Amino acid sequence: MPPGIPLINDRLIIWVVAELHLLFAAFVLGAPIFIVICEYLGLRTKDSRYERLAQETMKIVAISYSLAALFGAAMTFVLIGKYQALANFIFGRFYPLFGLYALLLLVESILMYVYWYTWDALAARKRIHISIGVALNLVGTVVMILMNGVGSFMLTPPPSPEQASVWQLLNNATWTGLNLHRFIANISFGGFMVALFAAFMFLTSRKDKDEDRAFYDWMGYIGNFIGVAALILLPVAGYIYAKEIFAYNATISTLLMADKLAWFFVIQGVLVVLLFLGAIYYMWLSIQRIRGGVRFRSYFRGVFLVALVGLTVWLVPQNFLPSLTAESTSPIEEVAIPERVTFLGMMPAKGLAVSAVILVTAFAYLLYRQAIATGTMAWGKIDTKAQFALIFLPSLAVFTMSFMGPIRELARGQWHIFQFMADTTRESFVPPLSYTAIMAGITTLVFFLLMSAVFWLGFKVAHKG
Amino acid sequence: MRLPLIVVAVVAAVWLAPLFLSVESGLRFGWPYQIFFTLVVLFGGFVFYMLRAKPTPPFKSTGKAFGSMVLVFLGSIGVIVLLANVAPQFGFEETSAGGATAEERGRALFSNPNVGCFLCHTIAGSGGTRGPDLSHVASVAGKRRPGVSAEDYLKESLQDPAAFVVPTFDKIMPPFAQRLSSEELADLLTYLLSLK
Ligand code: HEC
Repeated sequence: MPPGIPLINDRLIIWVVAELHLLFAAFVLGAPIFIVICEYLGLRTKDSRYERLAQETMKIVAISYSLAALFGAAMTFVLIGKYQALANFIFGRFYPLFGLYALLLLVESILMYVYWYTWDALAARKRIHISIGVALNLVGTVVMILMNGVGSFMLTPPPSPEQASVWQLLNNATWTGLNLHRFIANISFGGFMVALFAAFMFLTSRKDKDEDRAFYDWMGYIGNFIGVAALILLPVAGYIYAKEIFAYNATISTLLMADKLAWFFVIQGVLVVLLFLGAIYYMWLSIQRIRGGVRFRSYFRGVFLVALVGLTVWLVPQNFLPSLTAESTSPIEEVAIPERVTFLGMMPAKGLAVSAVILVTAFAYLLYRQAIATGTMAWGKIDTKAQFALIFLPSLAVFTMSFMGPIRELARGQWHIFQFMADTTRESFVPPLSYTAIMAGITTLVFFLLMSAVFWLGFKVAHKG
Repeated sequence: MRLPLIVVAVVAAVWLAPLFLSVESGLRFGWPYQIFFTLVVLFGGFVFYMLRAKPTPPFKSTGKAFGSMVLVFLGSIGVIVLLANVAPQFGFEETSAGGATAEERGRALFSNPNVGCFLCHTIAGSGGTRGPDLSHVASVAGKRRPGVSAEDYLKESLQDPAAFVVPTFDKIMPPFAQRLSSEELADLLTYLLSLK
């Protein structure tokens, strides 16, 4: 355990603050991407629900934006106050980059407020308004890409970081992988947040407001769809990212996948399993609000069976040892996969299993489309349990982010900057799995509390008057 | 009614199978796997139970709705945190200076950015290049000046670097006599002497 009072030492403060900054930043970067798309769809299809979805989500983004900035500033303060050497080096070497960053943040803020406050004023000139939204997204993405350079630098610095040019520092071995991974993850994350918001509004809507419930049911469906669709792409980006790490320094990937951090990935596996099952379960409940949907029950039994078997194969660990060099207290035939079925622990089996799961998830979606085509949709008449699924999925998605972020950081071991600047502070420690999970739980909890406060302030209190 | 029976049957199979399988068969799963499969089967049973559960009616009050949202959240996160706590944990090395040897403390000082040695010196391929590579400084130090032992030479290098300037390098190394305590200087010296 780190020395000092639990939760009030520098290491844990910077941990929570950085993570919260990332969560809010991910949301305010990811959500506007499909907000603009929805606004455009509203214009094209003349379906007013798209417009309402875009506008309500943008309102949440506008409020969350200041929280992202607040935690960003807090993170800088802790860095400068408590991690001076690292801060000196990072801010010193990346100085021109941070100048550009500040400038772009200013532009982004202006665009964001213009986009938000001209929504009604430009109602007649939608194309201009949409263009502002597109510009906002472009600037936002560049801002993210710049900061990803600093983050990825710490894990994979170029040779002799003191002499390297700013471009060499930025264009380090894992910049592309991190960019790709975060870009897709942000969209998925934004989608899940919309689903969460819709579930919140659905469950707390007044009994006499059938129209509201119909809308939020639909909104939750769209949000969840974006979340899951992007989530399915994420493993590809993750693979590219992992490959870059492997090419840079194979010992890091061994540490991650086969040694001390391997069990983090088993837990991540459990999270992904639950995300897939939750998504299929939500589809199953959605189908029942379509008249005639129940006849798909037997198909769904099959879907769940394949998914469960696939996910079991995917999860079953090759061994139950905490690390490569750990001494086992049980004989090896107890804690490792039996000889004749070792293939279950290997990559091909895992890949096959995951592909099967993705396929049946797509199949479930096709069933859903089929039900819509042949039945009548009754928006708002969905089982309350489906809204719980829409809380369950975002909870796990946020937890996954708060949990995988530290893995990326822990991969550096005792280094601030890998094999260049050691973390010599009193609080330096590499937390084990249990500790990390508890920290991720705390961050997730704080994030959800703040998010609920945002929903409440923006949509409940504001609408009373 | 059939569902619980199936679950019980599969769990029983998981625990009884090893009694009939020898280790040589290469098919016998050890106890951690039995627990793993049991959890999977129980969870699968839960999933199928949820498939046939009756629809939940809407909530009567906002308070109840909010309370149940909080429960769903805490339940989902709680289960994961619990799993992470029962999974195998790796041991992590204590890094605070407490139990460290002089050599370890010296190494930490060397890579401590506030002291800054590594900003100018490379050891084992990482560090700066404004000063000489120190990867094998203990072997070099004894030959720098005739009659001066490695230890004395290194001591002097730290306290008064200008006394002898390594050829081809500039006189830029700051003296550390005042900046570091005598214990710290001794730790650094022990570390440098280990770099044979
Ligand atoms: C500003 C850059 C700089 C810093 C910081 C610095 N050095 Fe040096 N050091 C040099 C240079 C340049 C030389 C070679 C010139 C000389 O001998 O003065 C040198 C020489 C040495 C030598 C002699 C090497 C030989 O081959 O004879 C030792 C030992 C040494 N430094 C150790 C240290 C230690 C330990 C620290 C940290 C407490 C440190 N240096 C910090 C620049 C630096």
